[in-house]
Amino acid sequence: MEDKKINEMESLELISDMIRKTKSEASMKQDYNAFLFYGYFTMLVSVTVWLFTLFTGEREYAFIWFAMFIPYLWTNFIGKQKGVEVVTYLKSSLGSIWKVIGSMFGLTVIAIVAIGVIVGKIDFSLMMPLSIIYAGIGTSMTGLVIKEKWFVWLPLMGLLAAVYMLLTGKYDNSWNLLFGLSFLVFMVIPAHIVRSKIQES
Amino acid sequence: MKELDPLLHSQLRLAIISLLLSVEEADFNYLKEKTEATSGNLSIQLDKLSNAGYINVRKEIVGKKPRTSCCLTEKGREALNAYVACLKEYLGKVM
Repeated sequence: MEDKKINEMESLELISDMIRKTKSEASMKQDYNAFLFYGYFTMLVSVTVWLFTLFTGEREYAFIWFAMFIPYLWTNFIGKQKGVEVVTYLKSSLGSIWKVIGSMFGLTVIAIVAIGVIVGKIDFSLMMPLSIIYAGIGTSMTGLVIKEKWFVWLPLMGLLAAVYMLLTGKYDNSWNLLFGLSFLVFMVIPAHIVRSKIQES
Repeated sequence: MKELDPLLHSQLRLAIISLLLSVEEADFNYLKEKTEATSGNLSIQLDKLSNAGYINVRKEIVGKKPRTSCCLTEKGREALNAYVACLKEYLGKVM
């Protein structure tokens, strides 16, 4: 393409052609790698914590859950290193949603530590149901934005695990597996369904 | 009849503005790929659009590499709207 004059008809055609070229990015037909990355990583941590706790009987192994911040930091680091060629309005909205969700995770950790210091007992068990709720809300909101019903509704199934944890109120080893299972239901399964739909189309 | 904006009535500059209309931000490589323009020509046209206030150009270093990203300004959006309205008016009279 050059810096040449064009006629009126060519101008209109050029405008619609360029808008069409940006549609592939705007339609969110990406491969949903981030959901699969977070989902499978959570399941791996879930089984690891469950096995360690099962064979040692020490519930302190629940601290392995802090590894959950690794994929968040990793994706941010890689994103900054690579730089992105184009930021669509859709990508930008989703980025803002997950920035808020990520902040909620961070603030909850800070709140648990700060309140724990004041009351003399730091207990991270509440972090598990809250994390399922936060991640579920983030996934549902993503589903609403990208108009994918699997991402909208499956997180509600995952929320059952959070409600169960809040009702029983006492951390036990089954929570670890339940946590991984809920991420399987509301992140991994919808990501695979939507990916296969994209490949078929 | 209003005259077409001479800054937009050029193939490459119109293509850049139209691409930026549907995205929040695009970098130099993206614009180069979609417009199939040469780097030198694209740089010149980006400067012209930037000087007119139609786009914002941000230059930064990402992972040791320079990166130029562009986004449409409100002035650029209004100019494109006016340009399209003018085109419609013109074509309406011709057809």
